[in-house]
Amino acid sequence: MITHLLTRPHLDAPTIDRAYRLAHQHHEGQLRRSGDPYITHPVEVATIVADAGGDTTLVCAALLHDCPPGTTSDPDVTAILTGLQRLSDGVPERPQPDVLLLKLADRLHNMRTIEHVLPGTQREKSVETLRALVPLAYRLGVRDIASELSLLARAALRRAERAPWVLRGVGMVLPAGERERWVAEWAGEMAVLGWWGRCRFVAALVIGLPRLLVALRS
Amino acid sequence: MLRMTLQTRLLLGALLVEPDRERYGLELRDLVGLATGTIYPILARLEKAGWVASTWEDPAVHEAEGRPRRRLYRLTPDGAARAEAAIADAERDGHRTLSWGTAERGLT
Repeated sequence: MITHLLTRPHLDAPTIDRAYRLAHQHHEGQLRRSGDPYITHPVEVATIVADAGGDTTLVCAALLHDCPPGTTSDPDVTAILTGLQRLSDGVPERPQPDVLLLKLADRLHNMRTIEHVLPGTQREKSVETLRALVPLAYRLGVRDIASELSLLARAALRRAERAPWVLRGVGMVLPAGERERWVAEWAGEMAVLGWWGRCRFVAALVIGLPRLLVALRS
Repeated sequence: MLRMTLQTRLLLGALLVEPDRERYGLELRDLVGLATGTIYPILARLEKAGWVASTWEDPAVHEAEGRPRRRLYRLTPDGAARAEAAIADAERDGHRTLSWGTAERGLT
């Protein structure tokens, strides 16, 4: 599973293999929301940092970034993981570039697999990605990561903005000039409802549709 | 001329509680106890007649809450005056508008 990381000349294969085994052991039996084994995530993150020029320490930190503190005794890896934790906790300090690169790689893989998380979370993560992480990636000089993050976040926001098909269907009977506004309004209302609430909402909309049409044409 | 139905008066009554506050459709539905299918046609008529104005929610608010934007309604100054007059007229004629229970009794 990690042969592609073990054959890179600038990385120390035995050290990386040890970190991988620790991570594998810890994530045994855990699944991602996508249904993939959890270990696929740290491995992908490690690959992203290795492609961006990360050294052995950073690749090991990437493999272990979702393990509890103390999983590794390597002080350099631990320093990066502590920095990452402090960054997530919002501790005000200037993190070292390796910590930021790991943060970006973690987000990049999460954005690549974002269709598996809840729509509200997709929107929140995408907005945060565009506001904070894309500019950060440009500052760090990792342009490939910056542009992929930006593309993924914009695509996720477009998907999230898109009204549910049932509302677009109901909207088809409205006058063309009014359609977009009402469909967007209903989508905004429906987003906070549960499954049953949505069913009732749509049913009530359909029942009220003749009156709405009269009101809009008057 | 705006047709002043009971449902319209109920909705106006709800908008008059805090005339400066912007309200969204579901919020009004819960305040007034009418079906969503009834609320939107009334809001559309009131907006066409200039009694209410609507705007999209500030992106800073809905993005922070991680949900799509809402359409927000409030009475226009002119609409607020007319709404108060319409409700006063109806009450003088013996209709009650404040809640469903009293409204139903007012109708019988």
